[in-house]
Amino acid sequence: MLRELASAAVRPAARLGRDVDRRTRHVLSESSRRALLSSVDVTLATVDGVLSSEVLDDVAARVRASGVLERLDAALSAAADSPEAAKLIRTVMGSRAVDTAFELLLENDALWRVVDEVAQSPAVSRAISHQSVTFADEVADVARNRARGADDRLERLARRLTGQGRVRPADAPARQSPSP
Amino acid sequence: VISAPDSALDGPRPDPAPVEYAGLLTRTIGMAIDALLINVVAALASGAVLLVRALFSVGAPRDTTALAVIGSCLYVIFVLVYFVGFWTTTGQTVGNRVMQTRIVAANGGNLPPRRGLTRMLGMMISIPLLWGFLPILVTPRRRAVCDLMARTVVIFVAPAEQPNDPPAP
Repeated sequence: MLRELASAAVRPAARLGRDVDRRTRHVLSESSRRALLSSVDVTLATVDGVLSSEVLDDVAARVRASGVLERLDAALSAAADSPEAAKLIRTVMGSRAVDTAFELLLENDALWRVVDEVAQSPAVSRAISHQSVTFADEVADVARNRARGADDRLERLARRLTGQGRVRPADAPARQSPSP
Repeated sequence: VISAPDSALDGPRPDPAPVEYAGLLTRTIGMAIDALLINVVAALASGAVLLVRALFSVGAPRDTTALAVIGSCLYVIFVLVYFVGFWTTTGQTVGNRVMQTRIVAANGGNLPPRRGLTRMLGMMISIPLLWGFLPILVTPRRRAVCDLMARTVVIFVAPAEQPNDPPAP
């Protein structure tokens, strides 16, 4: 009896609490959603404004006029062609760290799972089949060309053996349409 | 390229392209490809039939002579249908297609079925010592005995002229 009275008194309070909680969550989630959308909108508008303004063109023109890119390219080329760069690459590639890194990479199961996935992908299958067809075409092309050359040589030999020599005009074949 | 003036049968044409006739080796390779394909298909079909037969044969093995006769007849029919079918529809067997050659009537046009059968007969009688194919080396349009019998020639075709998908005979 007492329990029923207590629950009857507490039940409206519990319902009120749940209702407040739901409303609060709704307001907060709606506010945060609107805030996020607004920030995205503002960011995109800013980017759009910058791209459509002449600021970028001015910056690009100044960079080109200053010759910074040419100097950077020359410096990078000189550095890449220098003996020091070659020595550095030799040192790095000859170090035990690279060997260890490769060994660890090859022992990694995840790598081979990725390789399996890539090998079984439809795009790779299509590329391999296309490559096979191309290779078969190349083989057939070579066979055709060689056979044509051999045809002519065989015919010349046969004509020499039979004493016919070159094709006489009277023997020349009629020109015809290959298709109906 | 072997070429000559226009044939009277073709009628007046402004500028016909010169035709190159397929020689002995090209045709031999094409025939070898066809023979390989025919025999692979026949072997697979025979294997399938024998497997199915093995499933249902119970007890002592029966006389296989009848089976061999039936199989041989089917093989001959398959070869006939293969060659005559391709010659009279697209003018190209698989071997011809690989070698980019085509069988056409000597006056141009497709080969009628009756002349296809005649050509097949000519090929069969040409096989002993390949005597029937030697005229390819000395005749002006590189024609074998079967070509002379069926009034056909074997010409080279450009890849663009090849039909996309030759229908099965």
